[in-house]
Amino acid sequence: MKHKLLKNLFILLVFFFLYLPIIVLIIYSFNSSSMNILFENFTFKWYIELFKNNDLIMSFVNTLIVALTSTIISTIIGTISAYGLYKFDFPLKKLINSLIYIPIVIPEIVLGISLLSIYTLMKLELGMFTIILSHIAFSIPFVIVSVRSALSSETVYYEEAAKDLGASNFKIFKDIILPVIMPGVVSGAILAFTLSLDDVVISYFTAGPGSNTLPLYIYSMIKTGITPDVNALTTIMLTITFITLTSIAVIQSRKIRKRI
Amino acid sequence: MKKNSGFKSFFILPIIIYTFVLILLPIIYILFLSFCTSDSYGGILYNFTLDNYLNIFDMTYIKMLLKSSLIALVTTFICILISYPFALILRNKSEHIKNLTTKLIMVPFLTNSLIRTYGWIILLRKNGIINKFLTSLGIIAFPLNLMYNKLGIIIGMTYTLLPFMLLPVCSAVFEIDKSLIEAAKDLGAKPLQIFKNIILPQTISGVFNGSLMVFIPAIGYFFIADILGGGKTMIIGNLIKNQFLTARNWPFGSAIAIFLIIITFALVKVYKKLGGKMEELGGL
Amino acid sequence: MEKKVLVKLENVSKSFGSVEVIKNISLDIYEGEFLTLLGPSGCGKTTILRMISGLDDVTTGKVYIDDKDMTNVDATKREVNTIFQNLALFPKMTTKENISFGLKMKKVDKAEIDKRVDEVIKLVKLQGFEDRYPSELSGGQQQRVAIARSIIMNPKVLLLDESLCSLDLKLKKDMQIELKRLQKKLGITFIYVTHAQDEALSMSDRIAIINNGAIEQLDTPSNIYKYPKTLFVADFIGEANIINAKVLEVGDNEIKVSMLQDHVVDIKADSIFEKNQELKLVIRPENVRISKNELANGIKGSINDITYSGDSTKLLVNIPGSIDIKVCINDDNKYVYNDEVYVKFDSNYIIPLRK
Repeated sequence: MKHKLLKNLFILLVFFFLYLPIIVLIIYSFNSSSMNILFENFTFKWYIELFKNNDLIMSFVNTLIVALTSTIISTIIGTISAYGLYKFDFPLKKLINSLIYIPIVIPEIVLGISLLSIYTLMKLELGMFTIILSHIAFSIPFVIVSVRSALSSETVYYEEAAKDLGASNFKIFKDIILPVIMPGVVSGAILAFTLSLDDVVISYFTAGPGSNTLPLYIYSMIKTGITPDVNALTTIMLTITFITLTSIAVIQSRKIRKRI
Repeated sequence: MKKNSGFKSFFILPIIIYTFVLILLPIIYILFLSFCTSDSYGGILYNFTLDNYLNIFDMTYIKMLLKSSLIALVTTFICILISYPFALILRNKSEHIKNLTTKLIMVPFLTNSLIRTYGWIILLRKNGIINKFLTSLGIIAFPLNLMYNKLGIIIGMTYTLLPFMLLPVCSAVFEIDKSLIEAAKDLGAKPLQIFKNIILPQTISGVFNGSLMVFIPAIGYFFIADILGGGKTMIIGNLIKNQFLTARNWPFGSAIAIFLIIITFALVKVYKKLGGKMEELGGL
Repeated sequence: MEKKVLVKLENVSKSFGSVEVIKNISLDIYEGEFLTLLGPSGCGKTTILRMISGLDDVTTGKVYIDDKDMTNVDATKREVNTIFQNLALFPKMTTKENISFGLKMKKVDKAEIDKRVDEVIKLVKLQGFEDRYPSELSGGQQQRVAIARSIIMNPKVLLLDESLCSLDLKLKKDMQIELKRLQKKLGITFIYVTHAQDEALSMSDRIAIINNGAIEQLDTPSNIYKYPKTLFVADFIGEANIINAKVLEVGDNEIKVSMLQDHVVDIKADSIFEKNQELKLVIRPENVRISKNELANGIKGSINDITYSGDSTKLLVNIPGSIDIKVCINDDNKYVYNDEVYVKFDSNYIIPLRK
């Protein structure tokens, strides 16, 4: 009995460790002191201050634009490509199949500087476009892997059955394959979105003037000290994503229950 | 068959373009750069040289490479030490709890890792929460130096990268057939023997998978070394960053990057030798 | 009346890489018949089916359906539908959506689709399950959806690829009857692929025995059982005693052979044998006479094994210095282990085959 308690305690401790800095940030978003050191009094003022801080709001909006655009584009390309790599044979397929793992394994900083290098080579001006392109570049392989896991050997049978019933290739993809791989597409999209929000390193190298994203804004402030309105923004973001995730989970489990 | 060519190119052209323009070209270009030299203004001189690679073997850089690798290794080791018991305990829980746990591991990622690292400053600094807490309890008389040193970097790296170990180790441990362990018990194996003979061999590729996903970023995440190391300890990531943005010696920075790519590929080779699958990397 | 040939395979071969899996097959399949391709796994029977449906190309040869050359016509455009081995029901579509899929692809108008779906659902007895997903149906119901999805297309030929093999025995028997009923009712040509001889024997009008990518024998079930043309067929279909023998004398339509240590028998022989030729004799176990009393020209042996299987009993009779003879009788508990018995072969039921 004592043994079991100890085990559960260990699990809780790990989660405590994982959530500790987040909890601290949330608590300090309600702190009246602007120093993030001592907790003085409870206040909501940072949630109001936040909207007066144009730089912060702009960087947050930029972050969202980058995350949403790169997620949409990489999900579309990743899904199409996963199916293409699964269905067709073409000369470079083997090479491509091994190259797509490069962005997953190599250090982000290497990807960051190599992308920076070719942007400079191509005389692309660093800005929103280059950040979005870079985020697309590192998200696509994750989407492909995620979609591919949903493309089981059974999909071949569905394809043949649909073909036998007279469906065109495009119809087969749209009506048969897409619904089957949808869970993989959705988790690929969530993964791409998460990676984009979490990224520091690649944004750091590929951003330019006027494309300040949240991590870059925070990075520039971290030495001088971060004001609690950042904490407030983080708290709002967390609340929104938490609500979204829980509702997705609830909807999914309802769907499953309905089926049963 | 010809009718399908439009359909086919729709599905394979994007990936071909993507692979060549956004994966292959950047790497070939920095490979090319690594054999060039730079002038004192950061311009690139296209004359072939091996100096950049020879420079890496300068004593100061070698020391730094070793220090950075050591920090990454310690981080990896701590992550393994946390993940194994974590996975083994969860193994016996219901499917529902297992699913919930893997989701909860991912949630912190939805806030930027820099923001979470900043959360650690509030916790770790001299007048931070942990020191305040320990002194008020009378456990320590003077505040500890928990950050602006290697300890701070290791805490930050472990925190940021732990999920990448937890996920693959959990999925490897969960996959072990329960009857195998029961059979071993039935034949009189003790817990340690079960671990050594059954659990370890079956999870080794999962652990190496996690180790790859922890070790490699841990030599590159310069921002954690910057923030929690106070700029005193440089890791390889800092070195590359400085060559590109401060010293503006892109050829040397590229040479180090190529060096990292070679190390990465070597580690991936080992991972594949251990029976690891590429699509399972990161356990995501 | 001359029967119409609906599907015609003409010198068809198929190679995957350097491996030839179908070796120059020619086969006529008549309109409205139930033809079974029977053979062990890997014999090429499914490949033949896939070449008829167009899911696989032929390497050489021609495929005609309803007198039209379909060799190079895409699967989507052949008036042939397949019920796949694993059914391949679309998992994210309901019963109704699955069944109407093919008509939607043909752009049939909605009212017509609804009408035909209702008809077919009645035909396969799936009323009340229209809005369920495949995962919510039982094995038998899934089978019916797959059948309905194909027959709604009014195909000229329906191809069934080991369609029943995943079902349990009881359900399998029910579906066999059901399939046969549907086939008679719709008058569609069925080409059925299976490795189970009981299915083939009970359902087919004709059976083609496939072995190593070639047709060993094509005939009605009873002819295949009674008059196997090759040793493979004799061995593959039903139980058989296969006995070595040697020709002693050749007469008109009759030969005298010696077998089982110089027992001499006269048997009918259509094909030509030569004197002193070595041959094999095939005798079905139920055609062996057995008795405890001595039989004229019988062979003495002893009971070596008894297997009771409800409607019949199988005995294994050991002939000293020779092989064991399989015997099948209808009444049980007459014999016990080690009983001395006599067996005798009725010369009308002995099938001589070349080695």
